[in-house]
Amino acid sequence: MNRIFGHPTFVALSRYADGELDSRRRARVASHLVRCARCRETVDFIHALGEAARSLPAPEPPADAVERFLARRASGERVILPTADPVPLETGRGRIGPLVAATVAALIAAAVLVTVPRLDAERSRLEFSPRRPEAGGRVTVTYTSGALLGGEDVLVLRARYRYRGGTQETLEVGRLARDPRGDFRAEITLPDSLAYATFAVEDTTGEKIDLNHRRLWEVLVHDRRGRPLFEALRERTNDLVGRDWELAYETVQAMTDLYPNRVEGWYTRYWLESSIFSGATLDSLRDEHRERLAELAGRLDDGPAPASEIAAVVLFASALGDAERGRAAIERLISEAPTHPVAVQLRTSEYTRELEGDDAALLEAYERLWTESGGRSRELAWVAFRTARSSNDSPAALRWGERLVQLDTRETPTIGEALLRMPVLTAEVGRLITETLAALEAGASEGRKLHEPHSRWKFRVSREASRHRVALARALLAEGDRDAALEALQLATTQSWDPEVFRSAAALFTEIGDAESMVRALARLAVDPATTPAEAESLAESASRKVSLDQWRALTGQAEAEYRSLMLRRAVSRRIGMDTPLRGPDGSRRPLRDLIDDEITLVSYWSCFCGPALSRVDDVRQLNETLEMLGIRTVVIANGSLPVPPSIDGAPELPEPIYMDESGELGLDVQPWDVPQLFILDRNGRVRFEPDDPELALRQAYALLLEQQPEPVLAAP
Amino acid sequence: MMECNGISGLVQRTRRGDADALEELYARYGRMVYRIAYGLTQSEADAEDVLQDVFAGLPEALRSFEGRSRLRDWLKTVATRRSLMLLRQKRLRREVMLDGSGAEPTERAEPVIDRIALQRALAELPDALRVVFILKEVEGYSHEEIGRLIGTGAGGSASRLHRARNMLRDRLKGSA
Repeated sequence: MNRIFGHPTFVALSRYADGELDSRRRARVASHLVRCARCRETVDFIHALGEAARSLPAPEPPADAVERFLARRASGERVILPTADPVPLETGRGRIGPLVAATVAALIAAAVLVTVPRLDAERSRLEFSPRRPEAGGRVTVTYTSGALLGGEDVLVLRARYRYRGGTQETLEVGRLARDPRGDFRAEITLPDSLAYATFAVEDTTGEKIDLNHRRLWEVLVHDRRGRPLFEALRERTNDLVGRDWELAYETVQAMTDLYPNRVEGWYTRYWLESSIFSGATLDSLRDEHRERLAELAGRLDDGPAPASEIAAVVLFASALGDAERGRAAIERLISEAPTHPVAVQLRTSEYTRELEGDDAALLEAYERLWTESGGRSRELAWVAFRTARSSNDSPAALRWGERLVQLDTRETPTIGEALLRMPVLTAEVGRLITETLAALEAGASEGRKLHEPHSRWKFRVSREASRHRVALARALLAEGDRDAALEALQLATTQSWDPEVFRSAAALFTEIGDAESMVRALARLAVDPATTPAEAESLAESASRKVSLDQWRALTGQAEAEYRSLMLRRAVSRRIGMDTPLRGPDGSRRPLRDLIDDEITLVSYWSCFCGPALSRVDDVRQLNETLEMLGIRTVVIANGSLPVPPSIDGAPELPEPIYMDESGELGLDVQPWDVPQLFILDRNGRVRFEPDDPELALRQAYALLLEQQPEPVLAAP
Repeated sequence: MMECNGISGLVQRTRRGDADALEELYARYGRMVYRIAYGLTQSEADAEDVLQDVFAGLPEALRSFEGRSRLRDWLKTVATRRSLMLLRQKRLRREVMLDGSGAEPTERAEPVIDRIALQRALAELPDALRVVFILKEVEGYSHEEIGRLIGTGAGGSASRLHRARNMLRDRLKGSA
């Protein structure tokens, strides 16, 4: 409400007219409208405005329009249009009808979802034979290389396998050897429980990766009749949600067309729809789903049903607010499949509610449930860990902490820090962190993502290891082992460049009483390019209590050298299409080479219509400004031939000027994966870094600048 | 149904450069493309440019049409995007201010709307606001779809619609 006049604001009335207000605010506005003629008229005006706009006469196109465009074509003129083929989304406009649905299903069964990228003949290709493999089947994989991997003799086939039970892993699945025709070939056997897999091909160093222009290649496991498994479609949906939601939605539609009686399929579809739609559209979909759930759940009630379907009824009913059906399904699930993951979650909540206040009984119940259900539930482990800590039950806290670490080693520093608050556990915490740290550093390529070059993965691991070492140092210090703590901290601060680690380490060095190491950590922080001049000055002031100005200068100089060496160790050197023509804002076309102009350059490559990419505009704008202040050139390139749509309204607007990669050639060359993809080029135009985020981009670009410029750029005070 | 089996044949023929097929598609969808372009640009000359470009580029553009949506919807999106492109090009030339914020109304608004005044007020709206108003109120797109087309997300689209309405109300009030 507008506080001055006591009336709802215009925006509130406009939202009221569109039915966008929640029920509480809607009721407040409605009760105001009953007694306020002025606001009623505003709402009437809003309705009348839409009607008036729709009834405005549209002018007729000129009579000679056809002759003119036919003449343009006859003269050889061609226009590149901003094409798009979006999945129809509105209920009233293009929802798939039964006939079309049948066609979609037939298409899927025939080919569309089987594999096969849509690429030009000269591009790389990965083909699978048979094209519709069954679980456990043997598959011949043939790779026809493009320019990226054409010069190699042996290639590595990596895959992200998604299993029927919903788990996944990324691993090397075979080596591709060159055959007499020049193609690469490998034989692989699909695991029995595989549902869906995505593939990438890389060189043996893991640095050059062919991702099929971000689409990856894929295999859906089929049944004997040549139909993709339900789980294959479900896992394809899960895999696509993060990278192409339109295709994900298309897949979930296909899944419900092919398997119309599977509650799990409809629940997955609703889950996706509820993140795509809102307002009246979602309301109407929800109504349809309620009817469908009633019908499908009714059928399940009549006989035996798989646990996954009963669990889906539980989740679907909860999402749709159907409490009665949800309760019945919960009872049945717990009674028939008490160790199903959903049942375990439900039982965990039930115990927490029923045994509240009696921590010993609660921990006993959690323990039984853990054993009974095979020890896989993270939710259960976290709830039990918190209970054990709050009740000061150190053996239980350690046991649950270890279980959490087994489920995900990245949790180790967090778990370790939490357990250290129980002094009796310090030795055990030290052991736990040491073990996971050893496993982390010994892991061959475990955890490397499909699109992640080996060097980038190593960089990530060393950063994680540094954070583990800080936690370890804290444990060792609590145990009284000052020397071992110092050793862990020295390693943590030298094996990677992480300001967060430097901050924590500086505090621990102070606690230990090692002033020299503390000042070294501060010096590292001071030369980090993300540290502002004011922060650097304050760090220098803190250091001045321990060292002279000359010593501080020497330490920052040394820190800068370490920084440069650490960053440049991860640098690569690969060519990029420097002659690719890019269209500038004035319409002229210039090769990338001209834009680089023999300078260190950050290139940000954008996808015009990518929402996640556009959400990072501000970060990259800030990065560009910082880099330009350092004298590092920045170039913004967007794919496609059209100006970037968001720029019509001012926010978010890409930093200008924007150069268009009209042919998509550069896109194929750089294989953008992150959004946006960032590249740091050296003065020779070679890609040296492909940072994951703007902060890392700043560090890497700065390191390159230091390499090519002997004098410090950001001299510490 | 507006679309039937014949469309697929027409699309195939147009892709191959068949002028008769292109003309047939124009007969079916030319007015629609022109109407959208005019609504968004509020200029007959610009609408004509969009119409010309869409049909001159259609045979090549149709190669990327995979039939996942109806041809009519696909063409609407192409026409909208081509219009947005043109608006942006014009903005780069003119540097049009896009600020559409308006003061809180304290006067009574007229529910009866003069169409000529409305046409003028629409033409005077900042491009960014008019685009959302026309796409939502006239073309029936949802905020989610508009958000994707212009890159603001559904919330940005809804917020612009309210601002457009508010500005239209102020301008229509002034003309009454």
